[in-house]
Amino acid sequence: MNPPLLQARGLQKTFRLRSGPLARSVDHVAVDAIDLDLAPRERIGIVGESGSGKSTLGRLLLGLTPPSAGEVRFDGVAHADRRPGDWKAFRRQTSLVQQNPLSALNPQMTIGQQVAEAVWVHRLADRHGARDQAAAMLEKVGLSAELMDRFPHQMSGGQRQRVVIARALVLSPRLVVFDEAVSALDVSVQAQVVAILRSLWQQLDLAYVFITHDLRIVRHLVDRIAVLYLGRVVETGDIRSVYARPRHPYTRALLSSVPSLDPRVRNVAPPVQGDLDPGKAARGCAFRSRCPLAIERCASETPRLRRIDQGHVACHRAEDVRPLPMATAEVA
Amino acid sequence: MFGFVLARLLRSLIVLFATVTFVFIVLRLSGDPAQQMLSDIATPEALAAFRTQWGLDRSIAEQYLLYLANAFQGNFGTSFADGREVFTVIGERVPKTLSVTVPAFLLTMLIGIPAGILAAVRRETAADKAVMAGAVVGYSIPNFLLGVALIYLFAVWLRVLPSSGSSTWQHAILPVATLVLAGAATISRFTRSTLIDVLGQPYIAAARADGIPEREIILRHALPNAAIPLVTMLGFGAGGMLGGAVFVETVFAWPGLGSGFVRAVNSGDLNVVQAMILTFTAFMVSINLTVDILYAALNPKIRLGNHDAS
Amino acid sequence: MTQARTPAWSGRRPRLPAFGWPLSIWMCGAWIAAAIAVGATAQWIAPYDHLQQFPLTRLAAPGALPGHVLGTDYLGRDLLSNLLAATQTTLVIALVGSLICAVIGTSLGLLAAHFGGWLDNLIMGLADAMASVPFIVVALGILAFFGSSPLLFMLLVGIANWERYARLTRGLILSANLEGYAEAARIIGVPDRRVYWRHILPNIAGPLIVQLTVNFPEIILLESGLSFLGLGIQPPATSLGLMVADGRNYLATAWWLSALPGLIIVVTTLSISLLGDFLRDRFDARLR
Repeated sequence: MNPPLLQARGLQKTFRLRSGPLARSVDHVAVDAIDLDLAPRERIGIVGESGSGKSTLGRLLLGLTPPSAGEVRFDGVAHADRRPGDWKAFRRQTSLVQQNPLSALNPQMTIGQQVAEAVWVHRLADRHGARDQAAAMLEKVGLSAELMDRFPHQMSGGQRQRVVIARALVLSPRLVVFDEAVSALDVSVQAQVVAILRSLWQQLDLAYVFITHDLRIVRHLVDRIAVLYLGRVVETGDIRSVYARPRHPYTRALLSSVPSLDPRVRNVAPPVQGDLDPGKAARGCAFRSRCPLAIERCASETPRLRRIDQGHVACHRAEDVRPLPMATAEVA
Repeated sequence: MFGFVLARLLRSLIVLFATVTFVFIVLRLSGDPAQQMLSDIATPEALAAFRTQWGLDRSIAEQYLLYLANAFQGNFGTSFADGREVFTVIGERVPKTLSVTVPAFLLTMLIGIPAGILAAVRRETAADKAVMAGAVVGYSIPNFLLGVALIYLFAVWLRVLPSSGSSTWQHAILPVATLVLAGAATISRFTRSTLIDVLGQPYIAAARADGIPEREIILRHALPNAAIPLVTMLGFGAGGMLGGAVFVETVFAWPGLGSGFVRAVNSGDLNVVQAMILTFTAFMVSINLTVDILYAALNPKIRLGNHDAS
Repeated sequence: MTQARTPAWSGRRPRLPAFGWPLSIWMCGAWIAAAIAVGATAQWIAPYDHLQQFPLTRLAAPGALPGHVLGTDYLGRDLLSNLLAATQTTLVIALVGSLICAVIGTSLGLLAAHFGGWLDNLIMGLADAMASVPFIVVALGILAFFGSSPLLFMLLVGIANWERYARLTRGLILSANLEGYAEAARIIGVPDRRVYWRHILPNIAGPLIVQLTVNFPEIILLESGLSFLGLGIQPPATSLGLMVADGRNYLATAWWLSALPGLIIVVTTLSISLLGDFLRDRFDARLR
């Protein structure tokens, strides 16, 4: 196996929340004890509901937020050891595609300027050369060079997202974090963007982390997935095996709630009940209040990730999780 | 609620403290305080006596503590202009200022708020346009100019009111009128925009959809919600009165804090100046504190104790 | 949020047809243009030096003397020349003051937003303190301690209202930083300085310019007010506020000595306010 491109160990991020000037502060653990390895050209999906800490994880991986504990290494170098000068080199090799393409683009600059800016702030070309590279990159995401002088508000949502992707990929980065990169788009546009991402991955030396709440999309885009619940990885494994046989009740609930076009398989399993409840995550399994299989042990002992089949699951009752009905598994 | 009030009280004290400190630092920065206070003609003995009295021969830290102690006891020495205690000078002027600003404040609210409500409720009508035109003009006329204009109109031309001094109650009419006209312009403008904001909220639309009469909507739904920003405006209004007093009292030779402040600045009477700064600050701090407490009392988010950081 | 995201002043958008503007707005614009022209050329277009005295023709009414269109003041100085010079002084001070204020306030707001932490607390605490006391009190204190010189006076009117820019800029930058485009630029390695200068500033310029149009008339009023109190512009220089104060002693015999400079103050501030309001409404409407 290749040496990891990206390696995270014991990653944790705690936010201190304070409700008023004299109120006592409360610690909110957004990301808790996460280990992650990513090989060159590997693609991993991070799946979770909003509030599961998946966006924070993405920011930690790119060093946009300092971790409260643990470390992230890129090419063997820890973020914490990077000097200001090294960050620039790191930024050249990594990128982030944000959720909302409208706000991710500067409304006052043309899209050509914005894509080219990445090239020439790194002194990789003069302004003219940068513009040429930008045009070439825009072509790759299916946008004609004629659009280069447009402003973001003059484009459609799908076009904007392709601009954002072009800007992220114009430096040929080795690692990109896609944070809900297609979630804001219409379903038909999503499909286009997914197709573009797949073809770009074929052409580039690119590893990526694809963060999403949408299990339908991630399936076509990644090799492995990690399911996040309240900042912890509850299940991880090869995409096919996790989809075929989820081992964590939460994963199973997520997969069974993926809307299906086949009326026979709609709502065969109950969707997850209740809301995320960060207050009760202190001891035991965080998912237990919503889990149909919860037992006393789940309240007293925090489950650790353990190996089952080809994947890893953090659940005391992983062996008792029933397989998905055949039809659902297929559709998902 | 209690914690909120306590926090605001603490902040008020810090502001007062900071102001005293600031004045102390500026006083030290601007040169030898003894020389500054006593002017160039002071004898060496007078300078020495002054230095001992204010502890100027001691270390800066000691000087500061001494200054703090004196300041909080209201001891600012004597006025350079007439040799009287600064405390007495200020004490005489406070009621004079209050006797124009307090009536002016009340009248401003009595005129400004209803005018603003009228304009907001009858939006885009002649009443609205008249109120807004008055507000914009009032806003653009500085109160010293308004004062001069009123003097010309009522004292010089019509000869019905006195133009300066404070001997009778008639003397207060023009200063109060000046403050009210300028103040009501701002207040009505603010009331109007606040109420229009509230009237645009979804719960007002919902109430209208339920068929609740417009009068009821204004009184029961819109005004209580507009009251919270309006309370903040009371603070602006009161601050405006104090700031306006500086000009208006000077124009009408009204012997209050404002004209006293200007006179002290013009004559370099620094003992009075520093006391004036602290007096004005103390007034403003108490006004802001009152506003904060009112705000807390009106706002259920704070009153019931689960307010957020903002 | 919408404000920060949507450009208020994008040069490439179609401009509104200006001929649809109401007459009053045209008049405001014309007055402002005339005031700017006077501000730029007062010393050349004035018929006399504003200090030149004609002792034999004192307190002449407007139109009474052929050589002095607007008459003369209590020293026999030409009123028109004085008004032109005073308008120039007032406008120049207000302009310099506004710019100082915008630069100081915007810079401090930017520092507060960028560094956060104790610096943020310090700057915002200072801003709160400034806002909680009427500025005239601060101004009087500073003038008392440091005396009045033209330079200090300009700085003084320049620090009035700085806290508004600071608050505005800080808020706008914080929300711009939350917007993806600023972070996106940082992620591709654009240096901070360029992010602020090229990415954020153009996007927050709209509200800052609006603030400038709100602030400018207020600084005119502040300058006039302080000069009226005898604490601002000192003779032999002149300003509109000083002229109002000088004329006050002759209200009974020559009311126009106070009224004309007063009128210029009011019409100028009114025009700027109305034009500013109008433009803001127009732009707001287009943004929705």
